[in-house]
Amino acid sequence: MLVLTRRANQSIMIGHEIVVTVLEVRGDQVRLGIKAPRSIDVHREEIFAQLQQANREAVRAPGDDADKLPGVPHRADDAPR
Amino acid sequence: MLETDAQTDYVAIRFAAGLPGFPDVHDFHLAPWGPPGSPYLQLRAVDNTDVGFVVVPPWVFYPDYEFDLDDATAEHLGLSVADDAIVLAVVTLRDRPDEATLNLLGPIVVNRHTHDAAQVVLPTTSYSVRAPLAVAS
Repeated sequence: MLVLTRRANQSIMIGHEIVVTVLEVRGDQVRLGIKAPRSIDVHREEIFAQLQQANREAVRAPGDDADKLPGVPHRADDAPR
Repeated sequence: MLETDAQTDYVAIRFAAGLPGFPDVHDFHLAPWGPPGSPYLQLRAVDNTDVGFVVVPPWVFYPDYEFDLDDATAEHLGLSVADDAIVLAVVTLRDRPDEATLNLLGPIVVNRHTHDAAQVVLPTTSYSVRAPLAVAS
């Protein structure tokens, strides 16, 4: 892993288009500003990891076990589509 | 919601970026699933028969559910108005129906016209990846 030391208001560049700026350091928290092209998704790692885990739990070979489906509230019929 | 092809019972949708945990799976068929009138749908990977998800419009169980779609995703999907979007949440089925959960943190958004789709990572943590379904009903 590349390790760089930066102060508040200093940045690093990743490639030509991604700029990560240290905005503020306070106690054990660091605020970062990220400038990246729209094609690059930026996520908090732990949130993204939660979603990966949830998808792996949810994945299933398509089958006929519809008996495991929970019942649906009556208001389903007028839910927004 | 989506109009299925007259010859088939599914709609082909494409996740250009894959899904978290499944970055290489892009093409899916979305089809109604369950008993007649069921709001559930099945999302089946076209090229990988082991990959499938059960999805449902989240409002069926959580009528107050809402989120702001970030501009970048809206642009990727070519969405300019909310009515062009179909929103689905992934259901995790477990051994018993009352143990099933709904992923509200990562909704699937589909452009109803182009069928481009993405699983959005909401920036807020106020929604759970394992929201109960049984309690909500």
